[in-house]
Amino acid sequence: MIRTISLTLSALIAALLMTFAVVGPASAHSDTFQSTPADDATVSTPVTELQFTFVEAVEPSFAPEVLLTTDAGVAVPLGAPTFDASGATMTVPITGGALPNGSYTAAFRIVSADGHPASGELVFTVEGSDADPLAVEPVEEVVSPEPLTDDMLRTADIQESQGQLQLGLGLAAAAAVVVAGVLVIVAVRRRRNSDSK
Amino acid sequence: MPPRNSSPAESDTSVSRRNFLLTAGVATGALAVGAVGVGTSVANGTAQSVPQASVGLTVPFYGKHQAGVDTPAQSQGTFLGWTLKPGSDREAARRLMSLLTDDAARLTQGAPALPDNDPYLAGHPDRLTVTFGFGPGFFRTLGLQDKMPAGFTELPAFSIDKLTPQYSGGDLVIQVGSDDPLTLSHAVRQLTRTARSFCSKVWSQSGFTRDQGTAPAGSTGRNLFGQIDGTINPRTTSELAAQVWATGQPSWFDGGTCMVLRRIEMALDPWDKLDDGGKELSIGRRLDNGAPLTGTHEFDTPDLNAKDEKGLHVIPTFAHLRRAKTGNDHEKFLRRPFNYDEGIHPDGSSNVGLLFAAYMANIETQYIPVQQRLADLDLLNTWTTPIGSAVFAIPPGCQPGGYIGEGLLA
Repeated sequence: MIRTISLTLSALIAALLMTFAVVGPASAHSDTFQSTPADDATVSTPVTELQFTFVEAVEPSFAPEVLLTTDAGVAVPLGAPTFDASGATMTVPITGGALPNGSYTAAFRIVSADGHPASGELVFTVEGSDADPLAVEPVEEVVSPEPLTDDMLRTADIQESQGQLQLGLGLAAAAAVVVAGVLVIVAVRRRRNSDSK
Repeated sequence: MPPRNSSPAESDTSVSRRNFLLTAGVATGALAVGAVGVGTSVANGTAQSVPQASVGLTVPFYGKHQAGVDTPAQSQGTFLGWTLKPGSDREAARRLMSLLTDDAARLTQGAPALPDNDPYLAGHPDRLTVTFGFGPGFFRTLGLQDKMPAGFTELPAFSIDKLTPQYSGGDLVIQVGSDDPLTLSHAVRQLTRTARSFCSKVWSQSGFTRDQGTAPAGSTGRNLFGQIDGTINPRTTSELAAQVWATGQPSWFDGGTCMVLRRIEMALDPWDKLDDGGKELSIGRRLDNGAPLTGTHEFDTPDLNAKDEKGLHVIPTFAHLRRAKTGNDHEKFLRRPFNYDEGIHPDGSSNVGLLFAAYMANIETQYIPVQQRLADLDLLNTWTTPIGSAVFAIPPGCQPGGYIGEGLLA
């Protein structure tokens, strides 16, 4: 009986650990991002902007720091970032239009709605572009100068997106409970089988 | 001019003579574990043969400047805010300040106030200091607006402020500091008994730093976020003269200073959700030793242009250090903060924060530009909220027979 309980407990603990593995620690949540172009992608369509999607909304009053450089270390001029209604997708225009062929590195640092700073980096390659090669000029990264003014709307958006995140967490937790249940049943059955021998 | 050092002439008064030897040691900034040991051994071993008032360490009361500003922060501090009673005139203010000065001169040197119902609580001053300051209302009520110090002004409303009257304003501040909480409580009570005959209380705020002897003497304190706080303070006599002590206009304020007292609530629970990397980025300094993220030692000069391997600023654009830092010598001042801990809010969160006490010759030119930059942008604002604010003109010190504020009220 005690062994059954201990098996059950270890199954529950395993399930909890899986939950955390799926969701990730809170401190790292805003480091996770998707992008267009994607990391390691080779792109043949014109690249005129960079788009980043984060797990949480970005706090726009803390100007994001965004850099785009060629593999030769030339900085590509960027415009001010804009955000979608959720606040979690950031679009940064490339001032000079479509990128010429070559390999690029993009880096960013943002602050998410809960005040957590996050930074990341991605590399992509442009092929088949008919844009002229970039003029070599030292350009500093562009920082968005003006925070958004419609704070009310922004706050509502952020709350909504947090609700979605919480829903996601809830589903993950529910899945973990199901997994735990299955593990417990399997463990108990194995235990019974071994007992019957 | 050594800060608050004592000359024999200054100390040879009825209230401080007995403590001259101890005083000289403390005032030169030599306070350390050893110095605390002096008081302890006297108290434990030879109390019978030593006069009561010589137990404990004293900071001189009389001098060019009031004590409690360039005095290394004591472990305990209390600020009392008062409003003058309606109809107060200059004669009442003179009597108030004469009596308060007398109380402070006695208590800081280990002697009971007159009268003092608990004289045995007075004999262990443990670096007790009492500092007085006048709010804008003090000048208005007494018709002395034209004698307000240059650059002494109310603060503008900052966007980050959520001020409550409970911790804001005041015509008179009494700042009391000591390394001994019992001594502090006794001194506060004596001063309160005097003040309330002329004034009504607005607020009382208490805070703490580390206990003396638990950190190396002269080391920079930590706040409840765990940050080393106050690295860029003026330390030398010439830095203090340039940043803290007023000179010139008006002449009565020569040797005085201005105090900004801000009560800053700190949201510890959300702060705790930030990892150490995020905490360091928010301030721009390392948590372990306070070094700028571009340096290795606390007092290294931050390099605001330094980039990391990704090309991003090592000290981010939103970091408190970058926003507060100034190359302008006219925007520097002394920070002498105390932490506060008022227990637990009904929702279970911690009711803690910082009594941010800052001292400068001119609020308008030295303090407001820095505070405005921090209000405009500072990631640390995410976890901090100013809930109280007050400004006071701290008059110069006085000599035996005089009283604090005599240049204004005489």
